[in-house]
Amino acid sequence: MKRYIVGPTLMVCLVLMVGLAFAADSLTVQVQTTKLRKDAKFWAPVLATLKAGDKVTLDRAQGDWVFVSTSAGQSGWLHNSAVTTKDIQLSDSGGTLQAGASTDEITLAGKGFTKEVEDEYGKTRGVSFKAVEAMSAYRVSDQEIEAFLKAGKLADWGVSR
Amino acid sequence: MKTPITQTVTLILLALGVITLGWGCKAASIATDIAAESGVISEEERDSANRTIEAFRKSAEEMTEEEEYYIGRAVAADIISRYGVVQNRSVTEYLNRVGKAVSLTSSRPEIYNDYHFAILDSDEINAFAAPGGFVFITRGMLKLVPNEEALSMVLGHEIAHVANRHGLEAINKNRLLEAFAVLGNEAGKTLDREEVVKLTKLYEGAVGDIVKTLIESGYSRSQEKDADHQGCEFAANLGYEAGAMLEFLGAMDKAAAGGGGMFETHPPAQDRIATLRPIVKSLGDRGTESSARTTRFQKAMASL
Repeated sequence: MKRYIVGPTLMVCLVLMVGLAFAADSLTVQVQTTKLRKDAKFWAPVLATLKAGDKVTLDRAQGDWVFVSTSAGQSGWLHNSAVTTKDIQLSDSGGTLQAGASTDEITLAGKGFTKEVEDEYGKTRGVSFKAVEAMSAYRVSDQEIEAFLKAGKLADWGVSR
Repeated sequence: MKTPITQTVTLILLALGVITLGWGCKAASIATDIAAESGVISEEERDSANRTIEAFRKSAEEMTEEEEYYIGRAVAADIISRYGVVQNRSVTEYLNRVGKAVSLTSSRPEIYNDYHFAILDSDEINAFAAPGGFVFITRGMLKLVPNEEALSMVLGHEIAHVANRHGLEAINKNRLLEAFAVLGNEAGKTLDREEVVKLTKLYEGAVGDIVKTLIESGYSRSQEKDADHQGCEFAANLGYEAGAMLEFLGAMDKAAAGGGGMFETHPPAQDRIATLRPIVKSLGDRGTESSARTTRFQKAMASL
């Protein structure tokens, strides 16, 4: 008897999973900043810069990249590690949250182990974040990366043995 | 005794609950509510199921990118206070270019505040990665690295630890649950002074758990195996020759006699070579040749 139940049940579950996967066409940027690019690669031209909490609409996926459109009407590619299907609520002032949202689907950015806790930790434990700030401040630009890859014959500029 | 139809409904609802964990817990709670209302499960069972769903949601996996970053900053501050950072702009710039390039072909190229790389002022042979993308390599380790290929694999290994959130998994689970309990689930809730103090103590404990794992106890063998595998894969995706990691581990094996550092927290180099050999073979000969890479590596390291 059991096998007559398990088969249809798995089928229903599969249909539900597929349905849910296609239901989410709204994505939220989950990293501090990310770049909307013309092609699905990191060295492609930048069309716009998006920030944490920005919402985009998913059009299609290709490998690890998603083609999206922004609220400003621009379309381009984002790497899927920069976005989440969860709704991120951010405040526009001082890292505290706007009231209103209260469902479990919301990622409570600006709350938890954040700047407020770090400040308290630094103060009570006498920990300095100066060296960490200096480390964070150094960034490799898109131009530097492209020149580095080209000169080293890496990525798209590689020559197979 | 449950009928076959009831069992089917229960299975579907259970599947729905599991599926929706990745989409937030509200839908899972709705599923259990429906199950309770239709009599498939009791009110008591419903509450128990919802508590379990809540517990799943409150795992390290569910920490936000921002929280990961702020925990990583404190771990990085601790590591820097122990070792100090080498202030050598040309080597640091070169290190950041290699690391950033490898991160782009990793499984998690975009993290909250990007990857950052620094050299620790120590002759010990070691490398660490704090959550949030803070990657450290000691001067001793850099001196042992023979070329850009091997450097890309070493950095790839550390990037894999970050990408897989291995650091966060080192946090005591009860500590994490306690922290999430303080935070609650209300977006509009503002923490009072007592809650901030409590949360700070839990934050300090979480940072301590990670630092202890990085410096004393090390990650599990399975985590290290994954990091070795993925580190080679990320670098090979970019065009580096994966076989370079085997050669480098051979050099590590010879240096192991000195003990300390990485040799206390990682599996023996010979074991890593044996595990990696078939993986390197499966990655194939994707590498590309470039004398420019050799030149720039030697130029950068000359000033170390």
